Amino acid sequence: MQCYNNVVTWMGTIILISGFLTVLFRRFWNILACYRIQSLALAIATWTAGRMTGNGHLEMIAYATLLVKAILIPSWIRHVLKRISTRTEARLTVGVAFYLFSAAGLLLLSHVVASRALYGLRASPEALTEVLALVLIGLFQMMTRREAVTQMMGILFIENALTLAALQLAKGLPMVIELGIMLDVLIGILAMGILVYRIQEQFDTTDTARLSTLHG
Amino acid sequence: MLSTLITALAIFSGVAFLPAPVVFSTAIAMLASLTLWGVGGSLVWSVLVDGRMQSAWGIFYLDRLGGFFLGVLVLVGGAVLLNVAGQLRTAAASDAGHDASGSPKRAGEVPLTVSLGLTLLFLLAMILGLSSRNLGLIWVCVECTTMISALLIGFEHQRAALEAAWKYIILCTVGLSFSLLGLILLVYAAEISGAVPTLDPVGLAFLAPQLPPALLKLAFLLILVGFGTKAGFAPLHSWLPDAHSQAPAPTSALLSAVLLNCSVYAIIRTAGVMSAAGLGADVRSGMLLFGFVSVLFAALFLLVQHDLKRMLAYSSIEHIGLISLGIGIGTPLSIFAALIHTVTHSLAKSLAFLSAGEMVRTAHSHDMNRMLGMLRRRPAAATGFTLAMTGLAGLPPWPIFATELLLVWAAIGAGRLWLAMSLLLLLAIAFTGLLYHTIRVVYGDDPHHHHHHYREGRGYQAEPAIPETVVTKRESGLIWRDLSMAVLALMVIATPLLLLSPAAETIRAVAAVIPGGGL
Repeated sequence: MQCYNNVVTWMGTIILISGFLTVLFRRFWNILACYRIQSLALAIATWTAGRMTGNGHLEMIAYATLLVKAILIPSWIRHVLKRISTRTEARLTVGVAFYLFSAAGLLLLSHVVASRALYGLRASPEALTEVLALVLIGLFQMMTRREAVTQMMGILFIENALTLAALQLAKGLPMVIELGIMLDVLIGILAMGILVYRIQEQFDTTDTARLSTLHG
Repeated sequence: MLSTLITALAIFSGVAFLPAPVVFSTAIAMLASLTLWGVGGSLVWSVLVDGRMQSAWGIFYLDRLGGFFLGVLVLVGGAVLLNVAGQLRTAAASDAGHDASGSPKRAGEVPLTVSLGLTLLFLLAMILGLSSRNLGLIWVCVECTTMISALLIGFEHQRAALEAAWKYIILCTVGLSFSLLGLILLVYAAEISGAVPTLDPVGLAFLAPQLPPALLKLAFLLILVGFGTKAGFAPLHSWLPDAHSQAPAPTSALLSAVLLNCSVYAIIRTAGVMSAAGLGADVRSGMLLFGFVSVLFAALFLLVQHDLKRMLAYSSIEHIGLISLGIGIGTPLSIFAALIHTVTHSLAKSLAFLSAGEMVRTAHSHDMNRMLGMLRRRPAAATGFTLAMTGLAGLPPWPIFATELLLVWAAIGAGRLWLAMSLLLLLAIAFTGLLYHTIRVVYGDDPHHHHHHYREGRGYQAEPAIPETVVTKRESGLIWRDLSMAVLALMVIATPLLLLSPAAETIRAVAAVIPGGGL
């Protein structure tokens, strides 16, 4: 049991660190690599949790995570990136130092929110802090980088954070729901990829700051 | 019966994706429409009138509340599918020759019939969402509708539509991820207080009193923000006017008339859990705040719109805001009003979007300044549009007049005088805006064009006239499009019956399920 907890905690840490690292990278390939590592860590954590608690569902979900998030989705994004192939770097609207400070600030904010929500309960706020921070960092990244592919990646990072939350906080959601969420992510990324193609075709760019014909 | 409906729609949508001649896909659309009305209608009848709960495969359950929302879906969905059949025939006929809408030719790789398959999948996802007795499953279905409808919005590959689709899919997915976090926190709350975790709203309502309130509040806030984004509550609505105005007409109708309701349904389900935990006051103030801000934004933005479909989208925000206010006031009267409002708004709004689509097709523009005098140029659509708009604005014979009054009355009764007063003012503004635009578009005199240029279903052409063969082919699709509007118009005309005894009793029974709605 101790070992299981250790593995899950370590994987959580890896996920948090890779979430932080994405803030520093500008090249899509590096961000994609971060996502792959994160998904792998998630699959390992889920598998270990399933093994140790004797919960067969979790093991199944770990295999599905491995297939969908570490293999299918990254290859689809590679495909999209190759096809649009105009730019391989996300434009930063603010400096790296500002990113780092903001990420740290978001971590602090998550800690405050988590401790307040769990005040007086027999539960330590670390796991909740980690999840909230990952979600906020993903959101922050989506707001500051306007490239369509980075926004897609941001959604994937947020979704990974939520899967981690489901594992660490809720000890795994029912199988139907976990698989449903994974199916949604897969369909969503396919749909977004198709839209990115079309946007590239019509606008000759995938910079969403240029998508500004509609207003009011 | 629920399993029949789900299986039938799943088969139809699967078949619709197969490459096939247009005759075949229109046949599928009509069959699906009949199935929806026949099977769906009797399903809803047995749930609402006979009070029997329906289930399928032990996962999907349909109770009164779900049955009510499914009823709205069935009424609107059947008509929209007929319209899709018409659109397919028209598009197939015009693809053969000159592109009727004057738009650039679509990229050849996506066959038209895919849009039918996507529409059916969209409907299926909403039906599954409404019949899930599990908040997690509801979330999965609502999220799935985002992906499918985003593809439908961007289907025509025009710049504005793609931009709208992108904004829609990104903002709604991010918003909904907050909801998922909220749901995970609900399970977490059950976990740390030693209860058996569940996402069944009924089971959760039982557990709720033992759960830690601070965590529940955080969870509800996240869930409300998430589904609220999808429901188009201001100030989270920025995607809505774009998406609803850029989508093809049948998709706009489904987005506005059905999908928004599904998100409201999810919020009501969560609100039930929160009220059981004694957090009813927080739920009510959240709904009141979002509702009021939505009505405020929408009423002001309605006035200054030039784009016809954009105006309709803002009207949807207004009405969703009113429904939210009804739930937020939280008295039996206001919740009853909110439910009647939901049905009437959905029927009238889908009619409005379908007829607006026809008018846009005739005028070759979304701009209201370029579609004056529609009563001459496209009489059937203009008549339907007028009917729908009088219904939406709340002219007396239609129930929205009554429900808006009931809402104000209920607000006064609940001691919220300021709310009632400002609501009256905002409703007057929205009323003026909607009717001003409608009268201009329908009866306005267009100084640039002469009357004899207009023909039914053909419109004014700046370019050389369409060859006659194409016109006759378009007529075949036109019949189905007009039929779908006629059916919806009949339903709108029948809406005052909702306020009379048997229907009103049924709706009151539904209201009793919603927190604060029981007598």
